[in-house]
Amino acid sequence: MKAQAFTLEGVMASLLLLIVVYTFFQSSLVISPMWSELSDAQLRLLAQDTLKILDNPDKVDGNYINATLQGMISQLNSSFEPNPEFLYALDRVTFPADYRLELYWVEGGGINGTAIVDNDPTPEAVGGSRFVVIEKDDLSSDSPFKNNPEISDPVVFEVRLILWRP
Amino acid sequence: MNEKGQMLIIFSLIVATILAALSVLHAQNILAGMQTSRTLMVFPKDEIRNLKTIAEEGLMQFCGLSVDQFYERADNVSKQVRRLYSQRGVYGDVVAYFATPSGGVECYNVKLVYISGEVKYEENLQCCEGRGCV
Repeated sequence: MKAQAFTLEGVMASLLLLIVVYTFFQSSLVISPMWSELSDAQLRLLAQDTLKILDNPDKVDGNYINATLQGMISQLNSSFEPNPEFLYALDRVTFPADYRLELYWVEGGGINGTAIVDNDPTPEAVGGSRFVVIEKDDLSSDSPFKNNPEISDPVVFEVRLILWRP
Repeated sequence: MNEKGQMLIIFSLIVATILAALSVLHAQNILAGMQTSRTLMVFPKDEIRNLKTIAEEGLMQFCGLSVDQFYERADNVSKQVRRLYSQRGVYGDVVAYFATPSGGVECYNVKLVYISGEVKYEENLQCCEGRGCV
């Protein structure tokens, strides 16, 4: 009887210690699956900050500044080639990341889009976007948006910048 | 019965219970910290700031127009913003109202709305030409 009591007490004690050790180690190893985004947070922030820096609605002599989002969009023609000052500014701000730039707008009943800088992203790419409002009067005469009746005035453009590490 | 052994077991039970409670507290602190920092990271502050920029600068350029023209352009902006946000599964809107005076708009109110799966944000701003939005 005494021996049985001893054995039972020993088993209870070891079970208790086992539960404590298990609880301690199991709890501290919980990692949320969303935390895979942590490594991309900096790159995502860079994308947002880049678009914020390049967003400038101020005009000089009645025209948008070439290196801004507004300047780039207002000078687009049917080839959707951005001006070199904008590309230079974008290169400098996003260095050393590689990037892809897309433009979206509402046309008729749907959304149309095009790649302004058509590089292929890697699977680890992250993106940021910014909305810009431009009146049709501020667009160049050969702009594909100016005389299109399917596009409202003013035009809201979504500029999407996708970044990845080279 | 061996009283010394029983006292030993009882004390080890007390110590084990204290250790278990402390480890649960520690784990909850870690989880709370992780969730708080994750919430701060995923909060759409850039999208909301972008909506404010549209309200402040995008709509401000229509000041000086008549009320009807102002509302027509503001409605066009609102429809396009809603459509573009919808392709991301999010509701975002910029709604202008109370534009005055009727001859040439100088001041207007604007309601910003941003609704996603995790965040519901609404704000009303009053904007005047030359003075910005508050």
